Amino acid sequence: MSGISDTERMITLKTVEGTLFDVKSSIAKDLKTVQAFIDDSDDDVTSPIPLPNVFTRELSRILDYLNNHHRFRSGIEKADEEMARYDAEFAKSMSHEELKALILAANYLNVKDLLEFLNQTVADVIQNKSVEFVRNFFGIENDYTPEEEEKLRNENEWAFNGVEQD
Amino acid sequence: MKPVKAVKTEMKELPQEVMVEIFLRLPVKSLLRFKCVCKHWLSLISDPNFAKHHFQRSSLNLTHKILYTLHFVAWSWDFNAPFVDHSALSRIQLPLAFVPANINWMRMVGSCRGFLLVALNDNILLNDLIIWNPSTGSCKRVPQPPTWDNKFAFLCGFGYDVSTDDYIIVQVSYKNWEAYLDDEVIIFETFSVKSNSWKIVDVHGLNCTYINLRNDDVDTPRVGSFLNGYIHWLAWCKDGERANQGAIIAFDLNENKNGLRLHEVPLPDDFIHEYSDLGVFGGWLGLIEMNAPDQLNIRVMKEYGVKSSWVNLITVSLLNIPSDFISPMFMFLCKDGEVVGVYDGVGFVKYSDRGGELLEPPNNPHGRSRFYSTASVYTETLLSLPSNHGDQG
Repeated sequence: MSGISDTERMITLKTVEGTLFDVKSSIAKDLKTVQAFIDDSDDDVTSPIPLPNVFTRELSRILDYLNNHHRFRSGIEKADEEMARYDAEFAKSMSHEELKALILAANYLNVKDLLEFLNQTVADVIQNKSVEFVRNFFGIENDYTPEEEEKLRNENEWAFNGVEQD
Repeated sequence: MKPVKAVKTEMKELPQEVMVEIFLRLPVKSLLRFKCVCKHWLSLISDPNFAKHHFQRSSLNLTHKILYTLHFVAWSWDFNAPFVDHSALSRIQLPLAFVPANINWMRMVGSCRGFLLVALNDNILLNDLIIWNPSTGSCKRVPQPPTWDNKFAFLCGFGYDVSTDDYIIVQVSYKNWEAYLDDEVIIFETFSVKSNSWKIVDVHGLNCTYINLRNDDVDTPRVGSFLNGYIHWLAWCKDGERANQGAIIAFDLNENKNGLRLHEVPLPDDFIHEYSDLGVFGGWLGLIEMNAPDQLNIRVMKEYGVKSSWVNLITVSLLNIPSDFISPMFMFLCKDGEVVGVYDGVGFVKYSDRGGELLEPPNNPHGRSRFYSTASVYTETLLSLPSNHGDQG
């Protein structure tokens, strides 16, 4: 009989480390994986939802991003500028490792807008970088023989023109 | 004691679907370079479906460059970059594997979705053609058209048919020189990459009243402009009540539509056919006209097919260019609206879109080299040609 509307309902999420986060259901909608879980259960989920692949640091960042973006969108003008500034700071505040960890979490939770932003951020970081930098960034082993790699480089010689030095 | 292998305190690699999303946001140049990262990336980036997806996603944001050749060396120039940016110019390898040992001449005669159509060795027969993607280096030799040896080609074009996902080459010729003089029937031929064959098209309803513009230019086939699924040429009505009037003819690359394959697109009323050229500028059909001895004007048809929608884009003055030639060899529209001109012996100039004044002084990275043999705009794509049945190349 409390008349609490749907958007004020709170959902509790539990990270790998056991930390609990209370999230408004309007924000939880952007975590599509969580929303699907809620839809599949009895719509009356009270116990904390466990997120076995998500760490506290990442969930905290994701919720921070979503809360801010919801705030910007519901506000009046000037929101675009503020949002762009927030996004830039958000991206800058993370190391490359943290960026990748966040992508993994956002991918698992299926947070569409954030994932697009993070993918674009990574693309911007690596766009003008060398092959070695990119291998390092993604933790990829080079499985070419020196001859194979040389041949491939020659075939695409022009693409190596003007590349940023590491 | 057995040595313990050091374990990287490394998180797992990003999943493939995430990598592909990142790849889709990278320009072609980065992707070609990153083929060298590892074999898995090579297969992802080389996948033709990925290339299509990447092309469609970038379609509003494609990288346009100018490819020009100077003494048979090919250069690719990012003309949207400032002239001082040295990394804007790259040498491109000509596909030597497909080019015979002694080419004495080459000309770009079409550009579509990242592919260039290059004519070698002969301008009239147009028998020696190559379709080439300068970004990826892949190319295909076009088999010779099975028509007359003394054929005299006066129009050619290259485009893409969405309905069949096929690339089409068009040639319009007279059977021979005498046929031209006697104004006999002209031949329309098309080549389909998918079928890897030529066929003659019956252009029903065309009364063959159009010929190449500028009679004095008959040894140079006019290159068509591909737009909206049609190839367009400037032509000249030979007879009838519109004799000596200019016309734009458009050839439909889709052979499965009902109706005429050839139709006219209206020219502006004040069009004078001396010293004018047809082109595509910023996605519009456009005319470059020399409307005064020292002035070039570009105007475009902002609404396709609507005569009243022809508007002036830019007028440039040629006075400040110390060139032996009266006009630039080629002109291109930059994405910010400025216009770039290529002058033989002088190099590149950039004109502002506001007053047409010279923005950047002539820049010639090759010294006072003469004779840019050919130049064309192209887009950077990873696309590959559809293969025909049995074609493994």
